[in-house]
Amino acid sequence: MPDKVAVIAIGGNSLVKDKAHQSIEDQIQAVNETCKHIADMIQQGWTVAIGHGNGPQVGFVLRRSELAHQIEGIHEVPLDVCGADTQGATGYMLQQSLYNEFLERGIGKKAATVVTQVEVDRSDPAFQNPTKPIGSFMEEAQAVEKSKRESWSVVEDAGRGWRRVVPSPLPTRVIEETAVKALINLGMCVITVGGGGIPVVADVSGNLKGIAAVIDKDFASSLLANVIGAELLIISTAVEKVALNFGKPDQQWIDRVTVAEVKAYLAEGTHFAKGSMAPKIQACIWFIERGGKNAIITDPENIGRALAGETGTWIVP
Amino acid sequence: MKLVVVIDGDLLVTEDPDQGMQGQKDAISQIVGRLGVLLDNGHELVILHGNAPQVGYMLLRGEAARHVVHSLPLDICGADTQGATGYMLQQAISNWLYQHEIEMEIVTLITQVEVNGADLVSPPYTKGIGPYFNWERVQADQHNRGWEFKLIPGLGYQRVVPGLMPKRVIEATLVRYMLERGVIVICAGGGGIPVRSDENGNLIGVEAIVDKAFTCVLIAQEIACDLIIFISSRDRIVGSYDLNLTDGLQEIDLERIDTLIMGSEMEDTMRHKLLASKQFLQQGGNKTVLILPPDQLGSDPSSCCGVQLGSEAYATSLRNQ
Repeated sequence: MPDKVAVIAIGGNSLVKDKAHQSIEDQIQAVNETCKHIADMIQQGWTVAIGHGNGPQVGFVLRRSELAHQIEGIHEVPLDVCGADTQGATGYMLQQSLYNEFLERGIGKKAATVVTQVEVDRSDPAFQNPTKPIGSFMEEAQAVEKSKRESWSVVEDAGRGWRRVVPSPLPTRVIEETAVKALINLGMCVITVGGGGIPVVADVSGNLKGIAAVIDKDFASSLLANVIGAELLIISTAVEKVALNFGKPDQQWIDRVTVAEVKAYLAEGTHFAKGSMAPKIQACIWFIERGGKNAIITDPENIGRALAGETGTWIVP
Repeated sequence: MKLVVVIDGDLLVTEDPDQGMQGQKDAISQIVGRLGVLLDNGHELVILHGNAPQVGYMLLRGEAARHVVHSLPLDICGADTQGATGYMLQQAISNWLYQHEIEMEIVTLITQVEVNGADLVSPPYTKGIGPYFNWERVQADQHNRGWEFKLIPGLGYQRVVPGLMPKRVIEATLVRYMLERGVIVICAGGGGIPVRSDENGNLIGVEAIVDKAFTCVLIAQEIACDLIIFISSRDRIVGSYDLNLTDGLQEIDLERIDTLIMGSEMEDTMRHKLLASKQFLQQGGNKTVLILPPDQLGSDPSSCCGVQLGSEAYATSLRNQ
């Protein structure tokens, strides 16, 4: 096992900057920028596993799938396969960009993308309450039809139409754990749990089966970090530091906070935005409670400075 | 024994459009079930799969949604299918292993192959891919996207792309490392994601295709494997070739391989498998075996129907020369 192992979870903004920059060329450019920061880290002696988001990318795959189904009548792509698609494509872009960075810097490492399934528990309460909207807006009639014929859960979204919602259960096991560990032990840079992993459940005979769900990529990266024995979890997002009372007059940046302190803040329920910063904080808490050493939340540009202790929000035991 | 198993992409889909993606999953499980004997006997396995029909679906989807969502270059299409087919294959294999109480790990590695960038201009062969277009559309795309087309009588115009020879499998050493640790490796799906090196050695994706038959020889070399098994459908194996595929495994030596290659003008997958086999044998490989969907696959892979290219004795004599 190498000395310093870290897992870095990179957010959607590191891959698709905004609505005007969605093309593959734009994505490659964004990936190249992100990979410079990751290569900096590797140059400082870290062995890194990368988890990445895939929200916008799955949106693109689904949109193509929906339209081609309507126009050409070809089969639609289920959500587990969408996830696998984006693991392939985003993994490829990251691994190529890292190859090029390593070459330029004379780093004798390779990047590997491992197509990764993540198991969830069928009895996870999330299955009773699907909340994650996916795919395009639908007319009511279509929503009813889909719900009848394909057992979709659908909800009406305040006047904008109907949407499919899927559960977002917690990850319980990284199926390809051994392979990821083996590559990390060789000192390689591993791209894994893309989009939180392809969600699978075990059936009664123990066979794995893909399901329509979305796993939070920060939760999956946190679990992965514990499983491979990483000492550090970095969650890379759009802000340099986490704030208390974010966006309010009494906003206050956090430099360093213990798990106990941050749990108390989280419990107050007013500091961190639900569905964005709160789950990132939660991912860090779980990582440390399961034996991790430190967690950092910062933006990609500041990863190097954060590692040197100059910025970012550090969550410590 | 170390084995490279190469499965044609059309064995991993279903013809029935109503079955959708579940149909692909079922087709994959079926093939895996028949491959069981290879999994069962403690072989060290590297698996490559084709992706022609899968990329065809992607291109069709891409074109249908082109006015709304950005379209995908071929390298990204290849990467997508490596992810999706790799996932379905690895899940089916790990389920099979679990049901048979075999403790082995399996991994899919996204794999790039380097081609010679200069060959893009005058490629060794070309291949038609994706949907058929009408003449108006062809004129626009020739201009706007720089695509080339050929007319397929009765169907329309189809885009043609360069078919290039792989020079190097970028992740080859990683495949070997995993194999050495007892992990079954799925890699280089669709022949690998085609990339070229720029003047600084940086890799860039290219709009081309690579035949997995050639890529698997490079991988076989890296892992020093004894045997390549191509699993193909009857139509694709026989094609216009004079081969008997009904009476067990027909043995074919290098000389006959040459005759078969020369007897065919077509740049089809069978020809590529023959050329790749020749390359493998000349590099000291033991033999390649070309078999039908493995309904007859026994515990000894050489006991099924198909073609055995290059006998071991012949290969040995080649090495001793």
